[in-house]
Amino acid sequence: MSLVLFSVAYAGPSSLNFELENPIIVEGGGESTSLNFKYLSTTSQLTQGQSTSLNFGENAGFLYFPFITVPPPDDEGGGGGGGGGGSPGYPIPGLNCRIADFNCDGKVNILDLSILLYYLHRADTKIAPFDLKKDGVIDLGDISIMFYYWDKE
Amino acid sequence: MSTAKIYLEGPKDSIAPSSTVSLNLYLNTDTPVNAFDILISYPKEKATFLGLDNEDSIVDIWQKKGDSAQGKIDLSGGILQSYSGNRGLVGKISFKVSQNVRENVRPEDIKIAFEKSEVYLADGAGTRVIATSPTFNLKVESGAQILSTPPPTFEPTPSDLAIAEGVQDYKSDIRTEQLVLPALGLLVLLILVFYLIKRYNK
Repeated sequence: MSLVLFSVAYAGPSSLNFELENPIIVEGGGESTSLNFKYLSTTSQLTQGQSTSLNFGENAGFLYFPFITVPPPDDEGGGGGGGGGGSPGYPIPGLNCRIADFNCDGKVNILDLSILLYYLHRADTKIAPFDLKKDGVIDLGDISIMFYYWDKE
Repeated sequence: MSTAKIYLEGPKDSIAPSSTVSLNLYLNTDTPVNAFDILISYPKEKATFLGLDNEDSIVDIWQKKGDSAQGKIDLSGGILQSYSGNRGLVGKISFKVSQNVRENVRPEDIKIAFEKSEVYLADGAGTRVIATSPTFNLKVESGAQILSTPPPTFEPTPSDLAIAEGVQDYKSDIRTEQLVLPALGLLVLLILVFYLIKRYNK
């Protein structure tokens, strides 16, 4: 008999969003969070990988949930913004979202335009998820691409 | 907490049937906003929407510029540097009052209402604020003054033009990606096949 307790795609001990220095899953873990990821729970063996027993085989890995949030951007180098401060984070676009759907609600609409306008004329490292044209700056070209994907209601 | 108000201003006195009238659409907001979404409804049997005039508007990017159907007017767009303050002119919307408005009709008979009046804070998170939006009453009375306003003109903003051009460029890039590159790949494959056949037949 083979019982798979966890079957999770696991690319490696690091990703673009975090680095896992000690790839060990603690037995009977509860909920833990960090700035970069949220680790809900697992009951597993002490190390990742594969183990077997006489009664079952277990594939264990790092259980990763894409609860990644972007902290509210600061005003350094701000161009198209104003206001702001204290706003909630939101999912990084591109994980399971459509192009230009920054808030991942399945639609490219005025809300996404508002987010993009906030970053207008900025050219720092924080703009990467919003730089649709991939030219290192948020400008009207990025808004053009957003309008290409705009949802017709 | 952010508050915003979207409202119309126009003639306070009664106007006569067949008049054309221009109403100013204003935005008040105490927090910087950079996008808006407005849906206006009007009784289409009593008035005809003539169009949107965007002269002196605070809006830089128009996504919906007065698209009208079934007595609704859709307006949405963006403001590049964000806006906060009072009496920010979004645009002017023009109507022609129907001739069919009955004689001796009571004033306050054309109600222009907001079905949607949303603004989005310039906070990088797209926070939506629902603006208060009082209904505007256009008073029509036979015997009142006939108003005539010039037809509205909508001029695409420089940003609108640049965006439209960018959309065309992007479409072209997509076509290249979807058609030309696979075609080139196929060509290379065919050349390779011909080469291998030729070599095999030697």
